[in-house]
Amino acid sequence: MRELARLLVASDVSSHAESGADAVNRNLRTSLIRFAGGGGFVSLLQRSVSLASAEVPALRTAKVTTDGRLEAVALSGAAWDEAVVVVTARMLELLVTFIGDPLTRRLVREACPEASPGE
Amino acid sequence: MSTRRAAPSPAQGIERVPIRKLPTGVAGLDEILGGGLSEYSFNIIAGAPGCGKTTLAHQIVFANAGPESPAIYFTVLGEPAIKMLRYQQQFSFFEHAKLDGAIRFVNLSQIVLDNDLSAVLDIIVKEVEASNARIVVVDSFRTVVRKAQGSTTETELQGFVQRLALHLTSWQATTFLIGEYVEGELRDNPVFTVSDGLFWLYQSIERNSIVRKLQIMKLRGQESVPGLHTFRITGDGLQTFPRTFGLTKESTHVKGKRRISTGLPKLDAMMNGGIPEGDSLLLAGPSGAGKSILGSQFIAEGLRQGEPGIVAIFEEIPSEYIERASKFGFDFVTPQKQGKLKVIYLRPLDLSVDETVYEIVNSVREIGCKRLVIDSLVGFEMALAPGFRADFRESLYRMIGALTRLGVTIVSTVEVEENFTSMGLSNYTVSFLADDIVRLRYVSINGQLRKMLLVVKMRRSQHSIDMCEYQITADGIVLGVPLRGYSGLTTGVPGPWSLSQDTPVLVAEPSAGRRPSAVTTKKKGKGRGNKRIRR
Repeated sequence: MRELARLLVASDVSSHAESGADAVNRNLRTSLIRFAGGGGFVSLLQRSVSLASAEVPALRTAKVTTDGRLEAVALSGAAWDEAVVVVTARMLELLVTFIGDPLTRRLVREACPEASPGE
Repeated sequence: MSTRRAAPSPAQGIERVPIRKLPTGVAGLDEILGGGLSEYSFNIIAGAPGCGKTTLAHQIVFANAGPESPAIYFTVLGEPAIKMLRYQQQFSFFEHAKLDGAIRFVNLSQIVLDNDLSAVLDIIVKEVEASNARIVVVDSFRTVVRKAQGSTTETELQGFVQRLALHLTSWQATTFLIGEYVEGELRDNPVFTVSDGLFWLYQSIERNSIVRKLQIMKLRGQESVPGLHTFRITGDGLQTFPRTFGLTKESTHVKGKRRISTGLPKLDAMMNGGIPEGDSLLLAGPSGAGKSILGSQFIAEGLRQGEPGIVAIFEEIPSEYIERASKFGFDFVTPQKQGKLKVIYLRPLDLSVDETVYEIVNSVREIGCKRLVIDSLVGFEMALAPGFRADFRESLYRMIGALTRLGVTIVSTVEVEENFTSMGLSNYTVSFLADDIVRLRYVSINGQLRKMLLVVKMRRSQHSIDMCEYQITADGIVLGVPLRGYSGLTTGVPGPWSLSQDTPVLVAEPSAGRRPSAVTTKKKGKGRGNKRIRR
């Protein structure tokens, strides 16, 4: 899932962390909100950030807003990009846990066809 | 002969609009609906939590969704969409490939929580228009309405439902609204008035069993099968068992065209050649009298003659039954492998009669069965869920009727309690259902507990009136000679037959052992009736 997460991040352009940023590819975010609802997406993201904070300690102080964005993360540049990859990977792993690998990959393919070459 | 009125024919020159029927994807449900779901209909699936509404909706969606006919499944407040996918993909009908565009899941929770009904209607309309969905599900619709009820007048609510139904039908969508309604709401809730179809699922728990039933409460434009139909939820989703058992066409079988051998030549002779084909025979007797053995002999004889058979057992597992039959020289293993014999063991404790009949009917059709043994009716009753035992007699009537329509000759065993003052025929007062009755009985003679068989009734044939002794041997049941010279055999404790000279006697015509077709009276005294009884 880490490699898939990297492809998703590479296919997206996210804004700087401090101004409240998308921690997940925007197309995937839109698709997940549509599927699981705003509240569902926020719950998943909160859990993903919590799991990712074990690898990226700076995420421990991050807050998830009601519209699914991260605030107050003291990261920028390459460090932020890597944090986004980790959070995305954790979210994908969570989805695999809940709905299985095939459905997760279909969800990703539907949201971001360009991030799933050859799938 | 059908006595139902034929549907009125259309007026001259006016064609009826064809209404395409969509498959439900649920075994048995298309038959209950009278062919399937009407296209573009607006339907409600109602019932208490846990009775299978969401699973039913998913089955319908997966049965119909495709690239040219996509489906949208709106989830609202209730089971989270991720959880729903997690559980529903455990069923065999769940095709992952269909989630590539054929089926879309859209969550309306936030819209419902933050906005009014107009906003909800707008988003549903927008999504349906954008996707050109042909199947639309809102799960649960009740939560949409419940949230709005605090701030909306009844008229506004009615308007919302009306507009929703109108729009979805105009966009050629077949719609399913799911709701945890109770029957008391039927009278006042506008959604039931607007709906074209209303499917109600019930679930009740009695002692240790769950009984699930489905009723088509309303269905515009087509005739459904009325009443409550049993259903079960398995790994394949819902499976319904229509009360018609799939037997809606007129039967072409005529009973009694030929005689079926029981496997016991002397018993065949007592029955004037055997059991009339297509009859239902009740084999009644106490425990240990040999009912199951006789049933096995009946099946074995059929297999010898190339007639496939089915044994439906309730009191032992198939391997035990087959092992026991083998001890009497009946090989049931080979015919099973050849597909000529099925030994059905139906899951006990929460069976329904409809489910049992369905299983048997399917098996009959599968192997072209000609002979069926149901062993035993008492075990069958015990295996039923308590809720079904109350109308067991009526259920038996429907079951026997359904099975004999298939042209199968049925032998049902029933245990009767033995007493020494009378000879009952069954515990259920169902003897009238049987075309033929054979009774097995213990009799105490000369310090021994011997066994006796008699043919009590044959609906369309003459039969012997002898009461014959029989024995259970290593080869099965073997009939002996009639027990002559006794009176009171039916009590089980007979005495010697004696004649007083003053007692008139009915004497049979010379064809001894058969029911007299003409009787004469004869005074006692010298002659046949005055024989000494030899001990």
